[in-house]
Amino acid sequence: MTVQAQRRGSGYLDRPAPSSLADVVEIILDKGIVIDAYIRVSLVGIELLTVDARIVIASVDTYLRFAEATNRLDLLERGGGRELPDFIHDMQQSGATGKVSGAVKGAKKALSSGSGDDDEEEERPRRARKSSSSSRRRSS
Amino acid sequence: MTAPQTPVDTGLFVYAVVRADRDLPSGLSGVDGSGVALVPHGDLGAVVSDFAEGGRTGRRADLAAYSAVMEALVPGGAVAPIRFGLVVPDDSAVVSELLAPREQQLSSLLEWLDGQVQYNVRATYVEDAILAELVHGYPEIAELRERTRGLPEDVGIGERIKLGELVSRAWEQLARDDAERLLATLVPMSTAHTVRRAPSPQAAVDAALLVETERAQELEDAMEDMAEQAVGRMRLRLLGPLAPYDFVGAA
Repeated sequence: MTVQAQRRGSGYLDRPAPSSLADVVEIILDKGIVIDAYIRVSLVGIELLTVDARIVIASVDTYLRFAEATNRLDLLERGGGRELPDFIHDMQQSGATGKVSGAVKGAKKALSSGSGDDDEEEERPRRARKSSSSSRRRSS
Repeated sequence: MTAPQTPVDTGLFVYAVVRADRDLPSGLSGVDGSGVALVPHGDLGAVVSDFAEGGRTGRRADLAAYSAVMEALVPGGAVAPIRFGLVVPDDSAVVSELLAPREQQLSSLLEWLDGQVQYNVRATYVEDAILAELVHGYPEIAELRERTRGLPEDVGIGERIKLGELVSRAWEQLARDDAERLLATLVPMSTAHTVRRAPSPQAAVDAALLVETERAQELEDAMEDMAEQAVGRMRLRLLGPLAPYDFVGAA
């Protein structure tokens, strides 16, 4: 997404040359005239890229991510970053968390059909934060 | 010579249909590194290159080569891109299977595309700026935020989901409004447009515009202006001139 841009005019508009793989895939994927009878080449590579590009993350996880981002915001009127004690949590809620991320992972796995253990990478920014419960792992 | 049990693994990779009387850019190489040539039929020509990769493609270099060929064709006249992956056995099949049966359609398509190019337009958000906008604009979001922030991640999960849901809904509305506003400026400059993705927090606008070459500068200027107005809040991106991938349908 951050391709080096040739700045022109005001310099605010991003004008990349469409050279990155992501751009090329986005531009050409599923586009152009289709002549079904003669598609003979294997499009395996393309299909994999399609799946990558279209991974849909379950909405609950999206909501949690938005909440996380909203809470991380540094607004002027913010009340200060007190840390709550680690021990305030109840097991039922943590059980729910486990289920949610389990379902999301399941969906992801189904989508990326057999690409093995990709484990959560990008959609867990909250991991960077100090964990309140080092002893408890998600869904054992 | 013997009956082919396996699919043909050599042939011609087909990029696009153009007018037969145009020149091809010199030194252009295709997906296999081989030179690009024109197979003519009447007024039409198919842009092809030799292909002998054992019937497999889809590697990154192939995609890049396909796209490079297409972009190189754009300045020389109307281009009707064929979807990536078409391999035809030989010259005569290019004519009998591709060009001849669709001669009329392809001719009218090229005529329609004449003097026009595609631009892809995208407007994405600066997340923190939008979140701040929403916190300030929606008291309920601000309140839930106050209540949940600083809590450990597994506490108040219900409220945090609610917060995220409110943010998501509000943002979607914002994206629809922004899309309407931006497209109201851009669409009149185009002869056709397609919305590639509906407005969402990921991108307010993700669209393709078919634009007359003479109006390209006007489009760029408008995009520059809008990018400047949106700075800090949205990022605007303009890709092109491209071949009209989104405007050739499934002929």
